Amino acid sequence: MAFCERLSEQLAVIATVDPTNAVTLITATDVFSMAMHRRALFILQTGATVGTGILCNIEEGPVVGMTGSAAILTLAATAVTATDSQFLFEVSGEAMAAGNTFLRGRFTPTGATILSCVVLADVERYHPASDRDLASVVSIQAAN
Amino acid sequence: MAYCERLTEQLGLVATIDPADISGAPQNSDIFSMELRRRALFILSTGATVQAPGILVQIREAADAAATATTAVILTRAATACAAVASQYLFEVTAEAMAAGYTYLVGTVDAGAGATLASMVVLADVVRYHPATDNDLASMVAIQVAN
Repeated sequence: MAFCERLSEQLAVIATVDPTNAVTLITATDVFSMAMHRRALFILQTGATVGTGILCNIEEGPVVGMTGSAAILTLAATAVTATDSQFLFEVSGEAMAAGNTFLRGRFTPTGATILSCVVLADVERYHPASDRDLASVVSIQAAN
Repeated sequence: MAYCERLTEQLGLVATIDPADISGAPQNSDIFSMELRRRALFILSTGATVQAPGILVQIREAADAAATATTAVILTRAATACAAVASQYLFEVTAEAMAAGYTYLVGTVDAGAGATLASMVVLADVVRYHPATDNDLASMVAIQVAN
């Protein structure tokens, strides 16, 4: 069988919203650069409680502080009301506006909400991708 | 630039533990078959609260998808080694590492009695039958893509 990198070597865990219970304020993922990535995949998970919806914005910006950022993907709060569900947002580097290198996810719940988000990105070079994992990735265990 | 499938087309979202206080009884992810897959990646995220001694994590292989299936542990992480808040733990299984006759995988987390916030998402690649989205969980509501 042909050599196949581990998924943890192909994909970096580059941003998260840690699982949070009964949040009512805007929550945002870490901000990260797409300079080394082709694609980033945001996986939003909802828990047993979603107030009346979560406005989801994936934002691109020119600086890590996200001054001058703009939404590159949006999902209306009325479309994010399902509990115990998943919502995927994917951004390609080519789709980002000139000068915008950074991405983050921004989630605005209406009412008490349980949510979490993990963001994975591939790497074009400088493998393994795990070299670019967040510092909060504690361990990687693999069976082969 | 060479053609590149979307990540959502390369990887199926095959199982989850939805974000919650996982204290009390052990929680299982969805159980899924590795029949069409090479590798599965379990990503456990912890929130602001993890009670001591931590979360015992087991990735188990099973002979069938029934709740009563005979299972064997293929990866394990002791509770004391899984006690950091706001962190991620990755567990990866390749199909070749599974025992003969075992086709299914499930992740189990046991946080004991104390309030512990956690969630898990499991992604798996596909050897064939692309796009992988065809085999996503039914609870996957939307996929939005910029290119």
